[in-house]
Amino acid sequence: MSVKQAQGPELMSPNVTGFGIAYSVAVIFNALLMMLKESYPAVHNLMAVVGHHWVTHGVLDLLVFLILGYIIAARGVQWDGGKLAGWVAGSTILAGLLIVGFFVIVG
Amino acid sequence: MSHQIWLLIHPTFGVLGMAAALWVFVEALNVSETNIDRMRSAAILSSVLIWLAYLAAGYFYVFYYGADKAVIKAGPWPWAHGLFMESKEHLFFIVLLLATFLPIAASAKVYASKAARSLVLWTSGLVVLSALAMEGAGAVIGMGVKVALLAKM
Repeated sequence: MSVKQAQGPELMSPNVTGFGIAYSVAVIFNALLMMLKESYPAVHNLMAVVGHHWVTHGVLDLLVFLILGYIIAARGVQWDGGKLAGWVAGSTILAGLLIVGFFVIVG
Repeated sequence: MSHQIWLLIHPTFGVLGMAAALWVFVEALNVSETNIDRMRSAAILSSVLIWLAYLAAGYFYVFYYGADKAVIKAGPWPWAHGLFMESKEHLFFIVLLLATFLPIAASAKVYASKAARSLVLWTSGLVVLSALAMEGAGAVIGMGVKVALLAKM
């Protein structure tokens, strides 16, 4: 096995940390924005002002990921890779459950 | 026929992107300095393919899906839209962002850090599982159209 097991935290680079945290925030934002949009027609209509609501939704998700990732990376934040993996996995599962759960219960 | 081609292009890129993510996962299991470049190339490939799947799906969804939606909702499987399509529309953003993050995660010194390897394994594994879910949901939606049209015959 060539991969080494470190004794302390194994810090990821600011880029990996920044965009890893930004990913977690963006997917939760995606789920919450979906709930807001589907629950309030005014929000849905507002998102459709500049085009299709789904396109606006995707652009907003992407902006959250890119802008937040850039800001956190620029600040030089470094997290342990295991902690970051936990955030990536946890936020993915939570966002998935929120989306599917919403349409099972409300839809 | 012309616009249905997007429904063939979308899952084709999707399944190729999923296969590339599986490739990343396998490379990461036995990562070393000798295969790190190959793993990073596969991560970029997966990201590009998932983006192409998203663009093909988005074009069809925005311009043509309305007619299919009306057919599904009037048919015996209205939940193929109400649950599967509605969920898929928003779950796809998760796959897209995961696939965008994958090459960034793979840029770490994965061969020198068990934690970095864990991050790449989780990210690529989740791309595979979520893309599989997208493929399955797409099949249900397609079947929703089919049963609705058959019911009319």
